[in-house]
Amino acid sequence: MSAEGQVNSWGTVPFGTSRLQVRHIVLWLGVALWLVPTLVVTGIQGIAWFAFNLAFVLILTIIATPFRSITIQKIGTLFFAGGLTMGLTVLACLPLMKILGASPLRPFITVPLEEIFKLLPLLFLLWRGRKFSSFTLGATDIVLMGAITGAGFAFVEDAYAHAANHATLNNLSVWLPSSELINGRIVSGHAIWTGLAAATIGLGWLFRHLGKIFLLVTCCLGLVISTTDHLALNYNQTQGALPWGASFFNLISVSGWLPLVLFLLCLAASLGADFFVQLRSLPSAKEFKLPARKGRKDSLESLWDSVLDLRRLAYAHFRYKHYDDNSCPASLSLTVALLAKRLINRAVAALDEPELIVSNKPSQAEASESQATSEQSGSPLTIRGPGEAPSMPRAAGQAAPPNFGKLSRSPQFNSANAANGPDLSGATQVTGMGPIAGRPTGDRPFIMPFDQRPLIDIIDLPEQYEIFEQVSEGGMGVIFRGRHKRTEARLAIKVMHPHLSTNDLHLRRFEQEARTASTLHHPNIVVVHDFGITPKSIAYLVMEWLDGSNLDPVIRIGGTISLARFLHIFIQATSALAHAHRKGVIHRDIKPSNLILATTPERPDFVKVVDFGIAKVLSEEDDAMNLTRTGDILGSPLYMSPEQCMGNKMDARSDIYSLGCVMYQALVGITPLKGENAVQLIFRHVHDMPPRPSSIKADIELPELMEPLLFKCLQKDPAKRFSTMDELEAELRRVQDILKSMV
Amino acid sequence: MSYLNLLNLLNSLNYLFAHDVADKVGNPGVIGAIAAGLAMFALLSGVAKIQRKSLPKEFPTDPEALQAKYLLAYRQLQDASKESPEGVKGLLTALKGNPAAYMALEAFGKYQSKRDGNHGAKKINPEKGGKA
Repeated sequence: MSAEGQVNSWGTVPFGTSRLQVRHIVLWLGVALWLVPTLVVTGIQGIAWFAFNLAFVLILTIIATPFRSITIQKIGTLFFAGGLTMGLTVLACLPLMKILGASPLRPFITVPLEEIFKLLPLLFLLWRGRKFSSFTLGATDIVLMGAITGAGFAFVEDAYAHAANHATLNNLSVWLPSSELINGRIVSGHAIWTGLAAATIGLGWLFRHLGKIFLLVTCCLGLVISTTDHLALNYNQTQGALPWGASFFNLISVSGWLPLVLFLLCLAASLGADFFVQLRSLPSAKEFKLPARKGRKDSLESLWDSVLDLRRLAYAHFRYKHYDDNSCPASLSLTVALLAKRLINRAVAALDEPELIVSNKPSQAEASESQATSEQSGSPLTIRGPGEAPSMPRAAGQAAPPNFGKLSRSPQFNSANAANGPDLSGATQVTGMGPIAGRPTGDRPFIMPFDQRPLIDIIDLPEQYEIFEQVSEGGMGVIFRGRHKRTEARLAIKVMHPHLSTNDLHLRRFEQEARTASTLHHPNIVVVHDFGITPKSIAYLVMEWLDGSNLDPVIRIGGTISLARFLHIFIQATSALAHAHRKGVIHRDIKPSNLILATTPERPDFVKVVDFGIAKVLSEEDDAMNLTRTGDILGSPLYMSPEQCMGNKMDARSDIYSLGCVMYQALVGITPLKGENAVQLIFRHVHDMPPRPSSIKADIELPELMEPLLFKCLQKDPAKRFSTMDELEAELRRVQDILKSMV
Repeated sequence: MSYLNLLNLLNSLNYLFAHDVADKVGNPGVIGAIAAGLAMFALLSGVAKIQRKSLPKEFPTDPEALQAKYLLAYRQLQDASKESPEGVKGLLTALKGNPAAYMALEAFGKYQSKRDGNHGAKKINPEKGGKA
């Protein structure tokens, strides 16, 4: 069983020095039981019928390969399911035959029953997948599913019931498997009958948006024709008892060509419809294109899986876009969302990581190899960049940090919620900054830790604020949407978790965020309006409200961003941080979630830097009560500078390193360094250089400019980095000018 | 020995035995059907399954959907929509330049709003609701 609880077998049994899967044994037992009696009882005739049915399945599968989205495993399952259906049909029909005896009505009951039974596996799968996989099927898939079930059915029936009676094999059986010539009449086999019935269901299902009547008529059409032709095969039995039967069947089934031709026409129509859907359904996006052979790094199996998912998405999206917002089924929307995100993940995971460049590598003891994990790098148990590709094994001889137990990813505290635009709050700037020091914790009333009420019901904010719903939650606190009652200004109100308010250090950090942010006045830094502690000792921070999102989900969902957008975003970020540095404040927790992309119609991607909760004011370096004294390790391990990792003295160049990590991730799609746990990450930040961006993402724009820029930010030695944030900003602006001149 | 001779030999050795079995079961087709059923279930068991208890309630129960790659996508979309204060709507604006991500998130947003509507989730009216 995997970490996700995947069940792949019914267990194993010992076999020599290895073990065999029970399900494999059962599979081959089933196959053997199926084939051996055929070989023995029916001899060469049975083998021939088996071969013809198998040939039909193979030919059809090959024809459908450019368009099908179902797996070979499902095709195999349906082939066997057809055989099982034959048994069920026999069990259902035998009692009926005994009851009806030689009644002329018998074929009119047993034949339709048989045709419906053969469709049961297909209908069951469509019903079972009604919340997901049924939306992902093309018309060709459904033809294939029906025809293959029919072939499985035919083999069991033909091998035991028919084959032994046919002394010779005719040419038609050879040239067109699953059909034969009997007494001058062309007889379609079960595979063609069921294939025809399924084909019309498939076309109806694909164009379901044309209306329920269309769906109903189309679904029934193939079944009616197949059943009629099957009844016509029993013409000799029927005409004697029903005088009108002869002329009726002569009229509609003529010589038996009708279902055969209709099947071929429906197959062609299904292929054409699927071709059209695959060509037109999806928007143009690099994630929806398969990598060229030259740049392909994933295995063939993985590539084929992606091809199938791409087709599934095309079929699901075709159905999805024919609904309006209100009528689209929720499960169809979810299907489209999952498949599209899965393909984005594939595109990101395809960014294979080459060997790390190692510098200043100390001699380390042999350590366990990093596990190369699959796309599930987003697992919350692994510290790795959002949407990152799995790590590759390290180069031979390269030292790896000790592989300690995995750490849980701590909840990210996103203080940014908040909003862009002019300051409309009307609140006095930082009015509630009463000193906390000197208020011993014992003097303050606290909310009991076992109080289970939601925070929104407990909090006693000053009366000028109105609080609405919670918008996010982090390790330190919760952010609510709120407003100022008098001015109607929209606000983001950050509230510290009550249990943390008992700790003066936490309170002081919370206060520091307010104080620090209040000293910084820059359009790209979030505005803090107010701060205070309520009578129930809940610390709160009132900030401007920002519409938009932080950079983290933008990278996580989208993979990477274009160079033009990258420059637009990071020029603003560097400008904000340069301002903070000039004021003597270093942020120390630069990460994607602390860069808000506020949006207004006039200013898309307006950056706001938030969360100065662990910022350090350089002038307070020697303060006895310094909250971030040397030795503390605070920050996010994915983005921490080497000096921060080691708890050494930090300056503005530490922010340059962290911002370099974020820039690398935004441009390449993965974080520059990764590890199985925080300790490994810290080790790598101290010793390893990341791979060249162009070696991971071949289509990176202006690599000759961007790579030196990123590597200069990511130097281990602060002296080798850009010396100031202004310098980095100037370099980004230079690249922007070059990019503009190229356009 | 030719192939047909071999077949005849096999027939002569096993015909009676197989025929007896078929007679006892009642219909030779049923043997094939049972065998096919066995093989089918063995193949079906290869469909990767994730324990339901580890899944969100609203996740489709279809075995095709219960694959790690789709579950990961679901969790990522869910996390991303939670991180933006405006939910999916806020993120969509930021993803305008990325059609694939935009499509995924827009569809996920529709799913969420439909699901919330169906479940009658309590929605807070910013003008009337809230707590002072």
